[in-house]
Order: sequence, then C-alpha cells, then structure tokens
Amino acid sequence: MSASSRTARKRVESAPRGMRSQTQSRPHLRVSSAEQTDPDTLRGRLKMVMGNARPKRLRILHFVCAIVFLAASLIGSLVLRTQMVEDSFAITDTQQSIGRLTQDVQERQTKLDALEASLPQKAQKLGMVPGSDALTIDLQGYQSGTNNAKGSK
Amino acid sequence: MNRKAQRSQGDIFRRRALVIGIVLALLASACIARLSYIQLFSAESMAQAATASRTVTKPLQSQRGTIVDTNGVVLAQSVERYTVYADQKAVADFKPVDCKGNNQSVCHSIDGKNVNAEGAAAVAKLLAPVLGMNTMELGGKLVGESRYVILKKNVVPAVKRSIDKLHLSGVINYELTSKREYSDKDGLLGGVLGGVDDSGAGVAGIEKMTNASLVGKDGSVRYQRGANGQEIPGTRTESEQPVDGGKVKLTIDWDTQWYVKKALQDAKKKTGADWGIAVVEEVKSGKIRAIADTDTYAAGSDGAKMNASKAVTTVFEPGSTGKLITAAGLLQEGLHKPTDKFQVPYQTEINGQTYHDSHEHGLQNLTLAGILKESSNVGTVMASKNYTLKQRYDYITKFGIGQSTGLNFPGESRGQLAPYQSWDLRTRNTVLFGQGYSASALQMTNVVATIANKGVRCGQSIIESSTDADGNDTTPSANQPVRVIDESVASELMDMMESMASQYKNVASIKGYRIAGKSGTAQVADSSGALNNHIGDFIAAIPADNPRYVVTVVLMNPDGIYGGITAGPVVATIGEFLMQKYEVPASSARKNAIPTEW
Repeated sequence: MSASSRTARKRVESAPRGMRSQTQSRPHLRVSSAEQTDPDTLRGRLKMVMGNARPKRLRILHFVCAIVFLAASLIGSLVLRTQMVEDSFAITDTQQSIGRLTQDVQERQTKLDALEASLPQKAQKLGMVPGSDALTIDLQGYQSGTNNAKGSK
Repeated sequence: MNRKAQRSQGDIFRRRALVIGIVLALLASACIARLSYIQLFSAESMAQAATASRTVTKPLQSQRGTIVDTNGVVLAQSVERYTVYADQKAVADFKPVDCKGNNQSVCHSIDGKNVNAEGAAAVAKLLAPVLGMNTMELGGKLVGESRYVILKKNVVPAVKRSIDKLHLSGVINYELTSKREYSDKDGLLGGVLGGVDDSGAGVAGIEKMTNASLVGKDGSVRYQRGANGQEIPGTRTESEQPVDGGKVKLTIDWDTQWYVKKALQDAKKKTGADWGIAVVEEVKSGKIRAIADTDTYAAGSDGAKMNASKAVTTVFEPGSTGKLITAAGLLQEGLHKPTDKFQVPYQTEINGQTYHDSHEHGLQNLTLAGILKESSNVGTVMASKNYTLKQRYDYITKFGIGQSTGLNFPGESRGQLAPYQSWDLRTRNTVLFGQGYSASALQMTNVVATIANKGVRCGQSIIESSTDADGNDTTPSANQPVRVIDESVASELMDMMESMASQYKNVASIKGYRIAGKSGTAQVADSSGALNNHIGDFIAAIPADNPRYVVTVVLMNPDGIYGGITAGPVVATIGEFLMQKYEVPASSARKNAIPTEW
C-alpha cells in the first residue's frame, strides 16, 4: 500500500507544474514531499505527525512575540529594580528628615516644659503674689429681700 | 613537485593551527576550571563573605521615660544628643578641597575663603567656631595616633547639623547619646529627683527608685547597605522597634512645692536656722503633695546625686510633738479622760530621775488637755503613772515610728526606736515627751495625719502612678491603712491640738480657718555628741474642723528656739497658700472646747 502511494506521490511531484494544472481539473490536496515525510528518518516521521500546519507568517509572528515578551520582562524588571533603588535613596532621605524634625520637636518640647516649670518663679519675679485671704459668705439665715443676710470674713 | 609543496604547506598550516588551537583550548579550560571552582565549589562561602561585608546591624536608641508631677508638669525627660569624636590618623592625612563653584557638596571653606592649612590645623580651624571651642585647644586634641578621641559631649542636634555642613565625614564622627534634662533648675526637688549616671541609669532619688519603669528598650534593624549607607531594598531581615521608657507620675504638686520651698528659705534666713524641712501630706489619701528642704541642688547635678534628699532621710528626736502619741495612748487605753484634773509642778522626780518643764512655773491646775496645751513634760509623766512600758512602745510603733513609711526612697531611714525591754530608767519616761527615739519628718507628719484622719493611719505615697516601657502598671503599693485609735479619741485629740495651736495665734494663724497642731522643741546632739543643738518643729492639721492637709516644718538651730514661734509662722504661711490653692471652705466657729484648766 505504501509503495504505491509513494510512487503515486512521486509521479505527481515529478510532473512540471504547468502540466499538472492541465492534466488535473479537480482540486487537489497539496501534499508534502516524499523526502520530508520519509518514515525512515526521524525528521520525516516528525513531519508526518505534526505536519506543516502553520503558515510562515504566523510562525514569524509567534517568534517575534516571544522575543518581545522576553525583552519586555527583562527591561521591566530592570526598570523596577532601578525604581526600588531610587525609592531606597528617597526613603533614607525621608528618614533622616524625620529624624531631624523629631529632634527639633523634642528640643522645643523640652524648652516648653522648662518654661512651664519655671512659671511660679517667674511670676514671683514679676511681682505677682499668690492669693492670701479667703472670702467666705455664710448664707445661713439669709432671707432675700431683707437686711438679714449674714456675712463672715 | 607542486603537489608535494602544496601538501607540505597545507600540512604546516594545519599543524600550526592545531597547536594554536590546543594552546587556546588549554587557556580556555583553565578559565573554565577557575570559574567552576569559584561558582560551584566556593560559591557559598564567597556569597556569605560578600553579604557579611555589606550587612550592618544598626542599633535604634530608645529614650528614657519621663517624670511628671501630679498635674502633668514635666520634671525630667531625655533628649537626643551627640558625642563628637575624631580619628586622629585621618586628621593627619586631611587635605581641604577648595571651593570652585561646582563642588559645593564636598569643598571646605571658612567664611567663603579657602582653608590655607592641612591636617590638624585645618580641621581645628573649620571645627572650632562650630563647636564653640578654642582653636588651639581643639588642634591639640586632634594630634595623636588614636582612632577615637572624644572632642565634645552632649552636642545639640543643631550644632551637629552645622558640623555636617563642614563636609568632614571620615575625619569627624558622632555617636548618638541621650541626655537627661530637668525642668527643675532652681533645685526645688533636686535631692528627691536625684539623677542618672553616664550610661543613663538612675543612681539617686526617684530616678533610682523607679529605674525599672523608666528604662526604655533599644531596638535594632539588620539590613545590607549600599555604598553611602542606604538600605538595599528587600534585604531587611530582623528589625525590632525601640520602645521608650514608661512614665512616672509623682504625687508632688509643683506649685505647692515651689511655695513651700520659698517659705522654708525665707524662714531659714529669718530665723538663722542651719537647715529646714517641710512636708505637706494630704490627710485622706496619704499622698505627699510637697517635700522640701533648704538644700538647693539642681536635679541631675552631682550634688543631687551624692546628697540624698535631706527632707526624706533626716531623722531627729521629735520632742514635744511626741506627746501626741502619749496622749493618744492614754485616751485609747481608757487610763484618762481629757478633762481629768492634775496639779502640775515645775519639776518632779521619779526613780531618782528629775524631769522639769521648759518654763519655770508654780503649781498649775491643768486638765489633760491643758497638759498638752502647755506642753508640760512633768504633767505628761504624771499622767502616765499607770501607762505600762509595753503600752508606751506599742503606741509609738502603731503610729509608725521605727517602721517603714512604704516609700522605699533610697537612703530613707526608719528612725530609731529601741525595744522597751532595753529602756533605761530615764528613757522610759523621756519617750513620753518625744525624746529617746528618732523619727523622720515624714513619720511625724503621719502621726498627726492619723489623728486628723479619724484615727486611721494611711500609707504614705510619693508616686501616684507609674508604667514601664511595655505599658505594664508598676505603681508601687503603699502601706495598708491601719486603725490606730478610735474616732472619738481622735476627735478629742484634735480638740486638744486646736487648743494647743490657739496659743500661737499671734504668730501662726490663718484668717478664716482653724488650725490644730503641736509645737515641739528638742535638744539634739551635735557632731561632738554634746546636746548643743536644738530642733524646733510645728506640725498642724488644717483646717481643724475637717482636716485636709497636714503641714510639718522642722528647723535646726533657729534663733528663738521654740518650735511654736520659729516653725509655726512657716506652717501658717504654707497653710494659707494651700487653703487658697485647693479652695478649701472656711472653718465654722469652734464649739465646746475641752477645758484646759480647772
């Protein structure tokens, strides 16, 4: 069976193209060359199984896509890494700035606390005196509207 | 002939090519061998060495906790400071870079001009004005062989930033440290607050007492660093945040403390006393609102660290104020009533020992209340005829003499009270009028506070609350309240104390308020052991009808000698301030005073 198909294929291939179109009016399947699908070779067997299904353009496209994707991921990771390092610098700067501001806040707070604690002394230096006498009003027996209000100092 | 020549040329060529090929192959295989050795066999150790060289563990400093008064006024806190040190070897190699306009971030200049020097002289010229040191002195410190010479300690962050601008890194470096700042510059609470040592640990006073609460926990962060010290992202392995120390809140009221200190210092000047002590205790809670002496050590100074607070640690023989304990014991045991009548001479003799009063007088008809009012030693001894030694000892200890106050202040003393079995013939009677044992001002204050608090002795406290770095509550517990005398006995004693205080109303009175108190005068030994010194004290509960505060003032060697006229006015001044500050309602009129004479 295979021998006859092989010879049949050979016969078709060997005929020149122009002659083929004249001799055959019905549509034909294009078949792969005998060499390529030779079951004695590994390559031939592979070709028999997988065939030349994809057209050349798609293959190229697939290849280009893969290359582009690879390149993009490489560049992307490079960009990311660069950004991370940049951010690391920025973080260090910000942390230093925070540290400076915290120190400033601490300094001012300490000054404020010292002023707060020195308040009584400063008030006295300015001549203020703490209150002395207490004034108490004893309302026992008070009747509003009359002169019976009692007051005691 | 041609074919032979061609063949031989071809052969020669092939041979040479082969030889060169072999040589190149050998070189290549050597490279491959070395590469595989580095990458495959010693890969791990290489990688580890590389990582180790750029891994750094940075400690993160924590701050010591703050100490505040009862109203939140900050008394002590820690601030960040820097220790500036120099690498003398690097200084010797230092060459300043002239400023050209495009190297602003690394060049050196003084007032816009180039530094015309090298080495230590250049560094000294650049650094001295910023650090505020003499150029010559600084230059001297920079010469040498050491890699670490401290130039200045406790440099403030603003100065450190100015040093940064000098672009001297590599030659001048800093260490981050912490400095303890105290708001108490005038020494109002110096001895009480104490201070810290160089490592930041408390060594005296409250700083030592609450050190466990105040210490913070340092943190650390471990990462790999780049060339300029910045963290390589993704390499942070262990990190622990620093935790600042906890907060300690005292019962002291800063305003009251200021006023008490001022009053004491005025009294010291006025009476020429050697020193004075004052305590203000809140009756109902046992909280110490002020405790002052006439020392003026600023908190954190060497004086404050080396001299324990006089107010807390001094013990002395209380003198006549000890009669309160005797009277309390007599009344509580039912041996006498306040109205019991006695005829009191100036002097009496018991067991061959003579006791006499402070003032000469004839025979006086006094009740027990009158004996207390006149502060008669003879009367007290007479009234205690059936008062056993054990009872005397028991009441003295129940009132807190010879016991711990519960404060646990460093250096605090319990005073001295010998067991009654060892009392000699004189001591057993002198303890009745406060001589023969010693107590601190805090203990004596608590005696009167017990009477003022209806007979219940509260535990005294100086720390209102405290937390540690983790937020745990570390507030120390005060002594448990103990009932010492019945409420009726306490009110009788308050009445007797009011009579006692009223005789000083010309020098020690507060308008609108009644005072209940006891004066005391005691002879004490001086440094040679002879009884040449005297102490005058006055302890009062104010106001007498509903006591809020007990004020104690003790003066050593005042002119005028007697506690009532020397310490009394100080108590009145302080009491007046307290009544005003805490808005205490005025006292109602006195009724039904216990008679003192018959």
